[in-house]
Amino acid sequence: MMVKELHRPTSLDEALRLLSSEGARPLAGGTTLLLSLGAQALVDISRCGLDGIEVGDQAIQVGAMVTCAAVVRALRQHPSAFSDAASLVGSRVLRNHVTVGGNSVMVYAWSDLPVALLAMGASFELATLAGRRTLSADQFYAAHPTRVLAKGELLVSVSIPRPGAGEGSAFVKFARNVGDHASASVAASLAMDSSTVRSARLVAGGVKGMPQLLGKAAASLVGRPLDDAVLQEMAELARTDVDAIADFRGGKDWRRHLVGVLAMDAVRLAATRVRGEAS
Amino acid sequence: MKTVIEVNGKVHELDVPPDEILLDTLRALGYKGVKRGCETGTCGTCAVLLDGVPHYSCMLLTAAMDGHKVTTIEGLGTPSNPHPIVQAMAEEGGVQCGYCTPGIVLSAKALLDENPHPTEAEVREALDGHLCRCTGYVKKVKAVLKAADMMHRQGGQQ
Repeated sequence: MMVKELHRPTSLDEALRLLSSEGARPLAGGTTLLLSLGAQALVDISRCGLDGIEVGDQAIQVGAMVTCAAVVRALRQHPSAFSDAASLVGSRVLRNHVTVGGNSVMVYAWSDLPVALLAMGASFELATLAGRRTLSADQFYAAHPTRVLAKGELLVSVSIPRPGAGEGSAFVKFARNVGDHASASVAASLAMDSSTVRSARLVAGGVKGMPQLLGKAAASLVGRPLDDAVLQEMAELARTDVDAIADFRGGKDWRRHLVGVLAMDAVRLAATRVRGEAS
Repeated sequence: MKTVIEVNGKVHELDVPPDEILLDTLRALGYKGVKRGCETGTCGTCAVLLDGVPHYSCMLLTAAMDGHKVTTIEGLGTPSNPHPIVQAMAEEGGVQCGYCTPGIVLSAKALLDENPHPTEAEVREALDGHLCRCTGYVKKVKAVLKAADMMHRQGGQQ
């Protein structure tokens, strides 16, 4: 560890001023940062009013310091890929630490929230002393977010669109046990006209690097009903579309197979939400 | 760095290095019920309640805890008057080597404070995040359910 200073600002402006200096990094839940403390100065952003959740008509605004546990508690009546992912991050205790902001930015191959946020088309509000800007999920995850963020820029909130009529989303994950990282995960976001798919977005995580859009698999659903043949064809495209690594958890083909199976599960669960069924 | 934390109701005014973790601070202060395990936020032996909510003390910087309230196992009952969860753990054989026990008892307390009548599934979910290499969890789960029962009969939480 080489941390020389820790700051405890009590306003966002003060935090942004501290973050604008060389070598300063924001401290959120700390679960990745504390394992490799490389910063000169840490700025504890827990006292800057970034821990609110606001459920609006169009979107749910989630402050960067909201923990996954708080998301699970607050959004029981609003199931989505985002709330699914928040409920599956780490262990129960770890979810009291892990924040939406931290998990969105510090992307690892196994990260859960980014997979859901990318599928749902969330937007990300960033702040510096000079002002604010909002990025779409595609922009935010165009590269690793730590490179997308400008120097001294802080993610202050994430906005999750609420499903309109005929819309729904879901996130599913395969891990060897509840506390393990994802071996593979898939988030699905669907829009349907009665029984046929109007549009679909599928994202795979846990397989390699950043979350991967499964464009061909998603496109194969459009204009069709979600019957077994259509789902099987989609799963096959997901399997072949995805780029996977081999590690001690399993091989590439096993991960591709998981992505296919999880894609079917995620689409089915999203469809039950489109139909307004309890899930 | 000047930091004030309250541990089990006692206020500690500290001067700590910015990179000191709460686990080290608590043990140095004599709260040896806080155990050092993996130090990577996985095993649960260092768990404490932070403002009533289970946290891994190895994943918290003490200086960032300024103004917060910490509960360690030392804050739950005494050897002559044990907390019902501790009592139930002993009676049900939920303790073998004992290393994971403080963390598990604290997570169980957080559960019962919020949900005094949990189902077995809810107890199992609440203990997720704590590894026990001795018991296989069965007796621990039984002990937490028994503690819920004991606390109910005693008329509320301790």
